Amino acid sequence: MTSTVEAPTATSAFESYLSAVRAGDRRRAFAAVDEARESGMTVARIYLEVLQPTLREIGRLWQQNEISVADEHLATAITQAAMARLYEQVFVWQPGTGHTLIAACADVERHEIGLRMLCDLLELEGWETTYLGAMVPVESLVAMVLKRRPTAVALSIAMAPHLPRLRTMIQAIRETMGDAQPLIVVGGRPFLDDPELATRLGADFTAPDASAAVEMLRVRAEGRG
Amino acid sequence: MEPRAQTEIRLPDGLRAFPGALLLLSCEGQVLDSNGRLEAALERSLVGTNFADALDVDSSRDKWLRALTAVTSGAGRDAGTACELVLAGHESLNEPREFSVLAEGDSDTIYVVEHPRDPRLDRMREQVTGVNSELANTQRDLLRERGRLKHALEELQQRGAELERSNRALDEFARVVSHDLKAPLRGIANAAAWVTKDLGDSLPEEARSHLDLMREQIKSMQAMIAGVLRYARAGRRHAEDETIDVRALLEEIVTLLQPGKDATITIDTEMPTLRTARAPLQQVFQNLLDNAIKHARRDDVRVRVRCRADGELYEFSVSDNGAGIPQRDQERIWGLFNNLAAAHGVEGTGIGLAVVRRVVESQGGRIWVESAEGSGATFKFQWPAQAAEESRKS
Repeated sequence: MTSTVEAPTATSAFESYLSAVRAGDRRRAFAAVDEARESGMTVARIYLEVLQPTLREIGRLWQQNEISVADEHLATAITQAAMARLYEQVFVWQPGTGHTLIAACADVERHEIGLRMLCDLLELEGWETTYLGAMVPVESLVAMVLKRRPTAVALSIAMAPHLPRLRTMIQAIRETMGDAQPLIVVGGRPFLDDPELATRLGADFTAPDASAAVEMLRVRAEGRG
Repeated sequence: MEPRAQTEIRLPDGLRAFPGALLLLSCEGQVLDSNGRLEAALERSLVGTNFADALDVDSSRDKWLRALTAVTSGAGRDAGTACELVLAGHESLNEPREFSVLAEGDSDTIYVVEHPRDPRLDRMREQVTGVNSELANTQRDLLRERGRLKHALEELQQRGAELERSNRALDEFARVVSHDLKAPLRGIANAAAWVTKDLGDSLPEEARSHLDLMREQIKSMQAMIAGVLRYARAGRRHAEDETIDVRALLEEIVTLLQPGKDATITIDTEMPTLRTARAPLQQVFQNLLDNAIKHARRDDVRVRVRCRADGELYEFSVSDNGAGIPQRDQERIWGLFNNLAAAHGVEGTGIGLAVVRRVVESQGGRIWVESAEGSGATFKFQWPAQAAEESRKS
């Protein structure tokens, strides 16, 4: 496939998915994803070129006061379901790479699609991932990291005021893990505005989206062997 | 700003008790008065500040400014507008507050009215979200597990097919070998018989005894070849289950083996009636009883058969009062052609126990021996089978 062929596919899939989600029509949304699959798009591309831009657009529409937060919740729910369907269709168990990831939202909010995308895409690459959700107490996270000794920990955050909590989490992991440091990747809105913030907080890196995070994790995990 | 002018414009007292936030703003968005509800959430005073400063920059500030413009200048002037906004600070992006923005008649003031929220609904929504997330986790776990099981099943099927192939190959090998070995052996046996017959009485005594020895060795070799074939086939035939009265089976076997008149064979009263294949069970008992009688090397041998049921697993034991098996030989007896008794002049190919073990294991059971030198031996084996109806004799 060449990019000249791919572009219109992704665009039309995005448009039909967005229109279905705006209408709150779950089945039509699933059909749009199915079509995208049949046209040969990979799961990663559907996540990043159909689902993610749709949610961004939904967010923009909310800011434009064109839709309510209830519509946004519905769009998120439909997208979660669409991801689960997609994951079910393509998931094939394979002997793993041996790499593991623990993912958690660092603040109190569930804005889990990004992390869920990261987990799914890594699973498809043969990683073993555990998604802990939001509101994970720092001690539980650290205990889990100590027990599982993951290759990487992914933490996401939605709002800048919660950054101190994220910093506390990173410090706790760093102090506990001694010589066996996991890679720590952070993501979320505050890092889109200021990527340097990641290293200032003690993380290893940040990535603008799930696919970029997968790529960076793969390179760095292999570097560590 | 003139403080005096601002204090003049206030919310009517009757509205202050409104359950949501209520703000009175200037056209520029300056807060002139408030019923105090938003202050509680923001932990600071709002009066005298611009309402835009109270809002989350990324998500809500521009949105608010557009709503303000609409109400003060445009289409929204009469109807007002509704708009969801997130407060600056620690409020969730997922649950913005909903406000109506209304221009008041001819005056230049604006009312900002929060739609009161039902905290129960908020809690329910939070719980539904939590449950959803859990479900997504569980679903992925299940999918992973299913994938793993599918993979394991495929591997198992592949191994099963490999095993089947190798078993067939072993069968074929044993058949060919025993057939090919039998033919020359038969030739030798014939030749020896002819020599004996042709030379008749003229055969010197010593030569005759050599020929006798030769015939014995040939017989032994034939028995070993038959043993190899038996071993290869042991447990490989799938016989139909039938109802077996184990006591009756044992009695038949004892009759067949014809123990000497001084021998005592005791079969415990507690013998089950099972649904199982006859031939393999018969083969196992026959071998064990035969061994017990022969290897005791005494005429007054006493053999006892017992049974203990453990669910659908029956544990049978065959004990004798013979010489016993020394600890060091207890593993060796299960090997092919390891006949400890050969040295003691007991007839046999030494393949019996190897066959027995193969049969028992092919049924999913296990066999072992408990013995101390000089105090007899007890062979125990497990036989998975279902009891036939009215299994136990009372």
